[in-house]
Amino acid sequence: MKVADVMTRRLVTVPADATLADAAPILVRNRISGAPVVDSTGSVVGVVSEADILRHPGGVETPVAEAMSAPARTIEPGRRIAEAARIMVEARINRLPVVEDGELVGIVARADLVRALAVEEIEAAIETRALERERLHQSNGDHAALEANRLAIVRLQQQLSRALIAEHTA
Amino acid sequence: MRTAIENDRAGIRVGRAAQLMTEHAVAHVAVVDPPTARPLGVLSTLEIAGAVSEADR
Repeated sequence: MKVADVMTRRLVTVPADATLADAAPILVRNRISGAPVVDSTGSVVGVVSEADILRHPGGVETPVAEAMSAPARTIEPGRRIAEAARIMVEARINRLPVVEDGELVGIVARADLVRALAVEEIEAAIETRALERERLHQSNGDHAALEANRLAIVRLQQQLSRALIAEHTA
Repeated sequence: MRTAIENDRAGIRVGRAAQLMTEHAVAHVAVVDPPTARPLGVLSTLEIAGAVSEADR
């Protein structure tokens, strides 16, 4: 599975010239715990999180640029999610801006990896159930039911994957 | 704070834990010993990310 398959495409960013007082409401309003910080050209220059805001000893008028994590670790959309996971674990970070040809195209967070694993888990459970039913229909010689079962499972898997992934990447 | 406790049983598949986290929109689950319900630890999205990265090796 690729980063592009699980990343959030709805971009919420914080301008590099913002203060912590500007950044906090952006995170709260969008119900996110961190966001990429971008300069006037749209390039990612860092990532600011709730923790950065809370931990910074300066006041709320502190520029975001002084509190953010920089330079930002980023990843390309065509990379495997395992690579994104490895970077997040090694750097102990929660999110990675997704950048293609220098342009910010999404963000992938640990929650997205959890969701991807959850989808795999559900799909595996569906497959197991499908195999059980297939064996049952085979033993009964019920070919029509066998085919109907296969089609139903494929449709269910497709609907589930689309619903779970699209919900977050829209 | 959350008042409901989401818990996970030791020995459960990591994928199932991920499913629980997604369903309940939480970033941590408590892991408990099944017979006694004694808390054994906490599983977070960081550990799930670790499992995803290990799965590719």
